[in-house]
Amino acid sequence: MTREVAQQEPPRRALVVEDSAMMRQLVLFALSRVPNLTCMEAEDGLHAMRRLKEHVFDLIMLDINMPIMDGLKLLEVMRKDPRHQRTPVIMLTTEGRPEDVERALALGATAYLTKPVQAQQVLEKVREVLGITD
Amino acid sequence: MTQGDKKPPQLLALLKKSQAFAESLLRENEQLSLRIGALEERVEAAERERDGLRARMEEVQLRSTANSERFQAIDEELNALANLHVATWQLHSTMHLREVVAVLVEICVNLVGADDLVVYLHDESNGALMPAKERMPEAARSLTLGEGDVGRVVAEGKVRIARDANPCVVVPLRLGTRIFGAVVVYRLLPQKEDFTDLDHQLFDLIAEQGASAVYGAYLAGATSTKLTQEAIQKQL
Repeated sequence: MTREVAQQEPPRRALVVEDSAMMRQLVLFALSRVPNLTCMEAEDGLHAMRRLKEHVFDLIMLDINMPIMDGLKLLEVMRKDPRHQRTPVIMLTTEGRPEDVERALALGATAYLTKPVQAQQVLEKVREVLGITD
Repeated sequence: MTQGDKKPPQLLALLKKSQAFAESLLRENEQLSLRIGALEERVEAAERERDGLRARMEEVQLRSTANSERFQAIDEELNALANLHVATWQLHSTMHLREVVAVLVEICVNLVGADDLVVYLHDESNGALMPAKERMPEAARSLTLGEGDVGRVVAEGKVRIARDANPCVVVPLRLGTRIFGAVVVYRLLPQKEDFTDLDHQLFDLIAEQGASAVYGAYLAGATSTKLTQEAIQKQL
């Protein structure tokens, strides 16, 4: 049954923006379990901006604390571009500070995950945001 | 011929007709009895089949529940393996001591949920445990192997995890009998309520794989010796 549903999932593209190679690897592992989802990665906000100029994504996993351009700034810039205004964005935060979370949601984040994050939690949140059911 | 003379034959005919009717009723009754018997047998067979199906359904439901639980357990195991794989892969993906130490911090922060922690490296010449990297409000000071609470735990070489203690986690980086340092967690992130089985596995992994990665990176940094056939053969 799951396989039949999996085959029906439309092709999607995701971008993982995270400065920690470890977290990128973990999130990419979780996303590899979503059927028909192709992933790209960026290690900071600027790198992500280049990706966003080239592609439109169906999902963005975005870390808040990053060097050069943090996740909140990137989200703010991104939402001004009509191509990325409606893209679901899941924020990743270590501290889980309420003000960061509130600001992220106010800037248009769809959901957030607080570290420590496990692959299963990432997968569940992604399924929820993309409306994938078993 | 009078009216009364006609009666006996008519009565007889009526009686015969009644007899035939009664006989047909008896035959029909007999047939109905046979049909009822057959139907009762079919009902019994259907009931047996129903009971069999019920038993089968219960069995399938039990198997489904067991499969569901098994699937969940496998999913959790896969999740744990993913975390352990990522941690190991990152620890051994570099030969620079600074990066290995940074990975140790990342594992503790991102995968376990540590907030304040210090990675100590062991100076084997004098037993000092030197802070190599910390994620603490105040600078950490050097410790001595075997002295004080942390120094003693590190010298024993066994991981200590105690949620309410301070520090709550002491992970000696040990390879065989040699101690290369320790990871000491003083505080967890507020959202981290308690340690999970996976956390215990990650600390065990840090203890062994962390020690191996630290020592490997240290050796790589301390010498520029290249691998040669002669040197390899000498060590094999």
